[in-house]
Amino acid sequence: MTRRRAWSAPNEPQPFLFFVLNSPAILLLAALVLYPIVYSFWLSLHAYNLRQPNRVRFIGLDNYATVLSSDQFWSAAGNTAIFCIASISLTVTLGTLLALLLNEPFPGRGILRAVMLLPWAIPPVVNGLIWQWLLDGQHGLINALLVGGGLLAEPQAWLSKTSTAMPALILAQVWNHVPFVAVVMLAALQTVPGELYDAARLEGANLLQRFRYVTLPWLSHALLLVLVTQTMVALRTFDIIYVLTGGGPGSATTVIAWLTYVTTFNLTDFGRGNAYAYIIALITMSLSLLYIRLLWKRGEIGR
Amino acid sequence: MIGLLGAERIRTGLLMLAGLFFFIFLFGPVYWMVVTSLMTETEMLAAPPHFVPREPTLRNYLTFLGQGDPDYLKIAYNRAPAVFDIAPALKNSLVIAITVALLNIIIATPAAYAFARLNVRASLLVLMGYLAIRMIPPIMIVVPLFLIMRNLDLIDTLLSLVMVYCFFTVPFSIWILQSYFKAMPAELEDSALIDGCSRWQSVRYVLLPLARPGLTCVAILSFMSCWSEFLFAVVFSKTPASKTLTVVAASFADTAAIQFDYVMTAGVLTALPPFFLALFFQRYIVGGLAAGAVKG
Repeated sequence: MTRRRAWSAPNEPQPFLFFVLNSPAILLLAALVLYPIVYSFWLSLHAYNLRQPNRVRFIGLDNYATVLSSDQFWSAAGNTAIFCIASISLTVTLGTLLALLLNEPFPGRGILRAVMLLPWAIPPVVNGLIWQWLLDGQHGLINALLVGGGLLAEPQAWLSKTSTAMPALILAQVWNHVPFVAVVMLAALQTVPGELYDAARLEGANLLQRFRYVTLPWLSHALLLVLVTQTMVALRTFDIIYVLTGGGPGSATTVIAWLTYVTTFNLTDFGRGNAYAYIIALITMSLSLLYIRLLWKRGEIGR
Repeated sequence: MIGLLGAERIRTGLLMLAGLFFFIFLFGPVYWMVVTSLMTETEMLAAPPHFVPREPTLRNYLTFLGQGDPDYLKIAYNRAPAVFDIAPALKNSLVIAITVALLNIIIATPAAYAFARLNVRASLLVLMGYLAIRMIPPIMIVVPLFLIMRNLDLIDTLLSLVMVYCFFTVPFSIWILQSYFKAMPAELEDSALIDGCSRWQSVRYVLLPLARPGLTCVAILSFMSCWSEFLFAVVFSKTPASKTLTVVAASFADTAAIQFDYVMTAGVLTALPPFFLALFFQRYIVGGLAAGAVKG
């Protein structure tokens, strides 16, 4: 009798079965995520440097105080802001333009759609390597084209100059992520009802007006979601910095994620490294709340 | 009428011009990587650059496999010893990514089914938990996980990376699959139940076969994200026993004089599997990405 109850109609609530089916995922994630998060916070409250194993001790919020009062942190925070704002705005603008383009019929659209996903499929490390080769100070293709085309007098060492290292990094990031934005925006564009355009045309709206008053409002939600996901991606960017600039020259491309890595694994200061990690997490967490709120409002989660 | 036709032509021309710009921007760098990998060191440094290699050669690829002229292999070893780490790394990356893709199917499918069909009140809360986990920046948990793995003596093993990559992929897989299952009509399973199937049989013979595109998408996306991962791989792996392809590829960039012919060859090898997956399974991936991003 009990057995029959447990396996009855699918839409009856069955909390026990629900948690049984979810238990592998929950156990795995608790071990791999929840425990490390607590451990990480605990470590961030300690003086813990592998080079001074005898001086490990509880110091409360001192790591946070040290970090937040250091110039190094604020310079990295500034770089992070520049990197995020520039790369996200360029990625989203170019991705949306590409989606709008792919939504129009023109000869060659098929080829473009076929190659569009390429940069997205390229692993970030390889992305960094490609741009390192393109931007190489001596034999890079970009120098060859600019010098050959008469736009530059002599080759530039783009990656080792303070003024150009950050733009180079942003360029590589944008190239890698434009396809993702384009895919999402194209999917959103394809849900715009054609009648809206017909109605707008009847009212005499021109191309720009149709974009402004029909397309844009329809896309606004997808745009917001892309903005939030891209911000999270940009905040955690690490691979291409490792390959392209190593945070340099000087500290020109040192963002907070990079500072966390260097502090922890090069300086072996686990206490301070974890404090950095928590600061990034706090920023990301507030963004996530915003994101979940957006999904909630739209009714994607709930029910 | 003629003016209108002209306007239409200008419009098409402008669209094609914009298309050309995006084509060069998106495809150019990949083309240059592939072409460089087919060049010798001398041709790679030619000025002006050769956009089409005069004498394309597979020498760089053969070198990675330890094949070819023994004298040249010696030179290659002196230029960059890491070239001989490529073959074991390729194997490591494959083992890790395939294992994680399978684990995703095994772990995420029952969980997603529970969300889609069991109608439990707590499910929203659990789903939010998975979403929140997906948003945790990896850099935040890499430090404690490194210490934990060190205590368990798992540093420099494939197992440590397999475990960690489940953290990246499982929550996302559950998210995609549950929305996929929800979109499938429950009536089909209901009628199977009425026909006398057990719940397990209705899942096995009705739900799972229909859900194959969703399962494929989840497997491919998790394969691709492990294959491309770098932060945990570089922190956890110390020797060729567990180094993945991205770690070895990045190690070329560390050396003082960068060997771009090898770097680009390693790059092509690293980019090839995700590239072919993207090409052949574009429909599934685009569907999953769009759903994953628009819905979460």
